Amino acid sequence: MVLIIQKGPILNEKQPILQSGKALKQPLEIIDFELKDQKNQVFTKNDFKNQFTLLFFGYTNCPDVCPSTIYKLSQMKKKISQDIPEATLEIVFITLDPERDTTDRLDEYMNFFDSTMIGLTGEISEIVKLSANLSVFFQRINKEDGYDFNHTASIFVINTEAQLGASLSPISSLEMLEEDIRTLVSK
Amino acid sequence: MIRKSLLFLGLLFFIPHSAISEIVVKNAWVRAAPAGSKAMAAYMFIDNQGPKKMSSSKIIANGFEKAEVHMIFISNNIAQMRKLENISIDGKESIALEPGGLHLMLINPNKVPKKNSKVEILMFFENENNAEVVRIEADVRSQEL
Ligand SMILES: [Cu+2]
Repeated sequence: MVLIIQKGPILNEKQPILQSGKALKQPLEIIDFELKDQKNQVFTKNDFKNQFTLLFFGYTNCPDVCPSTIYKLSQMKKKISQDIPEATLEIVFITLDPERDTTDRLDEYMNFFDSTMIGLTGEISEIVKLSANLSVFFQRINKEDGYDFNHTASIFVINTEAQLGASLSPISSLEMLEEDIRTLVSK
Repeated sequence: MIRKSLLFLGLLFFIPHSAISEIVVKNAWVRAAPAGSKAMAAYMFIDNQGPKKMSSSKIIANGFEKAEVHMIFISNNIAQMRKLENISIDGKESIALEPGGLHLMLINPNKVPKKNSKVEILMFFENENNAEVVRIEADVRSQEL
């Protein structure tokens, strides 16, 4: 069982005002890390630069919350990319279950839902480090026939300088998320 | 696997025919998942048209090792999935199984069913003076708006 609770970054609700979450008063620097994408290419903090990234953590055997989030984000990305072509938006999924989520499994998963998404896996220590940096909680729940995870399902908005700019609630409607992300990328 | 489907067929013959079916299920679907997935979520709308509370006692999904009732709880942006004993619906009430809330968790498929196929689900409901089996054909598809 992995259990991580860390004090979150200082949040300020004053600006910009978001409906589905909170923007950080002072963007939080992402720590250095090294993971692999579904094509087995190394992915580091630098790969967050020069684009906006919608980042979330999950596992591919998650039957409800993770695919719902993917669905919302990929719908939104299509719309925003059409309307604001100059805003490059990437969706990045980081697995909390590197044991089962190999690069091959992630490749199959991304192709199934949205092949433009980036899926990251790697050493558990790297995943733990990054999740602690973003105050992501996760806990493995063992069952007689396998295991699931309780996990933070927030959507993190990473700015073009690889800093955490905002974190959004996973239960927000597609419309609210879309409006907030438009606000953040057109700032 | 063959033995399992035979058992399933056998069960269909034992479905008691109650005079009026009180439980009506609509819009059942299973979220399509990539090959190799270990579980799939099924969603639907269940209406109890009878006067009394009915509770599910057993759920069988053809082609899966087992089916459970699960609920997603999200607090402080942390998502948790918990197993519930059953689904209970008061008389003349209905309940929606939908993403982010209740679902049937279909566990360990023999083979992950493809998009646009169907999954057969039997739900047994009962109360002190009535028992009923509902046979559901759920569409395997992706989420829609
Ligand atoms: Cu479940």
